[in-house]
Amino acid sequence: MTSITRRQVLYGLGGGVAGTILSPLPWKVLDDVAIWTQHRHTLPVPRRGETTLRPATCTLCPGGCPMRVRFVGDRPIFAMGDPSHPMGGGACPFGLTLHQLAHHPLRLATPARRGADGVPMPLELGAAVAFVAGALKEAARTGRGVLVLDQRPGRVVSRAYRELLACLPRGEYATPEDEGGTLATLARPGQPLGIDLERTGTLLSFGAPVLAGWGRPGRMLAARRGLRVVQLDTWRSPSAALADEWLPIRPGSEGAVALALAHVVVSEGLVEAPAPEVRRLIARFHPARVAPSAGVEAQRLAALARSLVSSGPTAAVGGGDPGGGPLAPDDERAIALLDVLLGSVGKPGGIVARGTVPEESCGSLAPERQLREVPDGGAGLLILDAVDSGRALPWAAVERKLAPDALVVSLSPFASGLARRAHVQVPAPAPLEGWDEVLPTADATAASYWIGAPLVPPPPGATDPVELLRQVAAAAGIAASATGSHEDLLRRRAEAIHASGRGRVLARTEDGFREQKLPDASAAWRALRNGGCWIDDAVTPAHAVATAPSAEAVEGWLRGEAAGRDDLPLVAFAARGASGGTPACPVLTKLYQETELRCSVASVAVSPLTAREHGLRDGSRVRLESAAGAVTATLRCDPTLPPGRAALATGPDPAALHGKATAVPQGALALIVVGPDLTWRGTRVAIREA
Amino acid sequence: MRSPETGVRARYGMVVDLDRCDGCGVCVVACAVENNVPAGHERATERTGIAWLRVQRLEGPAGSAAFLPLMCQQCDARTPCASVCPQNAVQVDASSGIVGQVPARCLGCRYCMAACPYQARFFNWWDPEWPGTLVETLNPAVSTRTRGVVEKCSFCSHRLQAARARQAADGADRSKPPEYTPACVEACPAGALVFGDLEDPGSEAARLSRSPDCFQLLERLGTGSKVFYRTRRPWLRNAALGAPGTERRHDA
Repeated sequence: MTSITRRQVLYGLGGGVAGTILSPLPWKVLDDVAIWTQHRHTLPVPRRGETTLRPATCTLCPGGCPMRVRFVGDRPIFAMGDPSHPMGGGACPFGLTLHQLAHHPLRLATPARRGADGVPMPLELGAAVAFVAGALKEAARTGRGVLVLDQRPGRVVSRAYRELLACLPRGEYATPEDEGGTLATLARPGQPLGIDLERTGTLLSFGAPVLAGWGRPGRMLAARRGLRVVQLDTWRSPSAALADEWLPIRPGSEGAVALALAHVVVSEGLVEAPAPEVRRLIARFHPARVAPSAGVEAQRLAALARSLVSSGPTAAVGGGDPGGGPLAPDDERAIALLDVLLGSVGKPGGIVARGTVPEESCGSLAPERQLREVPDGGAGLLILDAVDSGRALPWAAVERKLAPDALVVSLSPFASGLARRAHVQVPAPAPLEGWDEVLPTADATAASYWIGAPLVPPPPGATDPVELLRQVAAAAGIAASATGSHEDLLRRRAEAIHASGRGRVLARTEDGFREQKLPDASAAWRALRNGGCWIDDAVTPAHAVATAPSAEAVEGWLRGEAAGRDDLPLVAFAARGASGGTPACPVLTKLYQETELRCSVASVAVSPLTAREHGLRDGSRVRLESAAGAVTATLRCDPTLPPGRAALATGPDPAALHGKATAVPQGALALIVVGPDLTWRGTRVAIREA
Repeated sequence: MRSPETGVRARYGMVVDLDRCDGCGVCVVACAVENNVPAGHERATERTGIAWLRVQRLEGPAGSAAFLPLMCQQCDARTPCASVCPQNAVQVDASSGIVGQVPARCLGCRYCMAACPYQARFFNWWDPEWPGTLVETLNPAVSTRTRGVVEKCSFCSHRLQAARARQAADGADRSKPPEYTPACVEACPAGALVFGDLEDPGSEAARLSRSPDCFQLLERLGTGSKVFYRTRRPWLRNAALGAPGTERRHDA
């Protein structure tokens, strides 16, 4: 019997190890480990079900894009624009997250009341109603105002608010500025105006995001080919980057530039001679005088002015940026005056009239006013409506309308935006959970109307605003409130549209939309209820009212900006939907954090020259301070940004993107200094290394 | 390339019209929503975040800019990622030409990321999270992935599977490849993305891909990518040929 040596054992072991390594076994083990680790119990496995496609409407901004939502079982999993819709053409990235909003971490599930420590405590609906009704009665007893802030006027809910407010001694119904500032300046009461984009030669935009979420985006996309877009903007905005021409004007010079353009077309006899007082006004705005304060060469202004006539018809629009806020009323007046001088009003391809959406007749309504027209400090109760305009509205602009101890009630479904300031929160249904309506956008040339029907049930704690108003009115002993449910009010509006005999209804069929003869009002309601759309007839030519800018503004424009200041004008900006009351869905980190496609509130841009002047390096942390507050951000040297200004976004709030609520606003929203006219384009910031 | 089951041969590809793209980012979000790509971790950056489809900004003359959607280019020949994967986790589907990724096989070695000349592959540095009840909005047709694996654009191949299933259920002619649309193409409001079978002479994508203003990124590498770009602006063509895949690194 031969003995086994130690060496043979080692050879055997070594050979075994080598053989195992060379065999498929290790790879199989690795493979299995990879597969096992992929099936962690923590990974969600989505529920399956039947796939269906349902029509919907995005109501995150006034654009009201028609949508299609794909459901798996009863769960909406994908939203997209509906190109088959007569008013369709796509949706923006925010619209694509429409179905996710009901599941957003900042979604409010039940009514709540903020305690003294600021922490919201859940409240029964009945208690919330009693609380609001008590505040209404108290306001009526003490003679203090009740203010409703509605960011999308003209809906049936808006009328319900106005009916309720009409019954109160000091009921105020207010809306913030929207993107149709110039058109509203020109319009006569009850005669809204729009822009005939399909036949416009040149669209002259004074900072309005005309190519990046403005009006109804699908319409602009369709009209873009053949349309010359000139963007006068204080930074290289997305619209400026896509425009045919961009003039980088200085912040606050919009009105002066509009009058300089008017000066050229009038002095060179390119348009009809205006009235003597207008001629005297614009004679003071020679391009050479405006050029230094505008930051654009006089020759370039003159060439642009000539091209407005040669490449007409031209429509000039202001309205401001969703983050930068509205233009000052005097700026809008100057732009409107330019429109009138160019002969754009009432002309095909220019600014034309449109009708209004028919409404049922009812009792008295509180007048609709702009928020800036509401007296300061008078409101003892503020009700913030549930919907969002997608534009920034700083709390400071709202707060100045309130009495010191005013009660704030929010109907927003989310704990974000202005709703964070509310003492009482009564959440409304989130998008896709409730009824909604789409009214004409500011640029529309014909009135239109369609309805967004609920697609998923709201949670038990959500209350429709119409139902809430009905309960509050009953509890407060107010008789003349809207009767019926939200659906009843919508049905009455469909009946009013049918009774008007105007326009046509395009009903949704299996193979698209088809004009439908409607025998009665019920048929009109059914067509609209099932995703149909009403489009008005064309109306008679427009008549405009142009008002000259105030003498104070004119003198200010001619003086220009004082030189030698260390602080910089703040160029606040945001995409429509990014800094309103609706929180951004977490998936939007793909645009604001994980790619460089959109600028977030985390970085402030200055030109390389300005950075050098302030001793700042690209990528360094900087502190920005204004009279309203201070923020820290990462400096980004942007060679496309003209010197002498700092550009910072107002949203989206990065905390909301990660499902967290913050008590303080972020980005430019924290720095904004709101002026008496509720604009904040004059905000200046000091910048230094953090 | 013929499917062993049906013998159907297809070569799905995409044409991106750079003159129509306005950089809205809808395709980026549509892709993430459709494919259950989770929101970025708080610490995620452009280098470590996951976006199967990205839109890069290209600077033009006089302050203008153009936008270039960049996703997996679905290489047709000598697919670099497939040739280096030790786990056979990258698979080229013979019936569609789609380069697929099998996360269950992926070890996370990231060889494929190093090999990809377009830098269109992404590594999961963190466990996926869907805050709140957002998990309710996940698409059941796409499996979720865990930390430690690589993922990328698949031309929404789950939609192709669904289209094939519909074709079979409807009793349609299975000798023709089914038509389907990836999420980004479906959502693009500008109509800048055209998708179809490049082998089908009647398809819009095939017709456009043969137009003289069409080009492929990094054509000199001979990867035979099935994503074509087109523009009539010479500066944009030059910028696109120079920029993608060379400026940014996604591996941390």
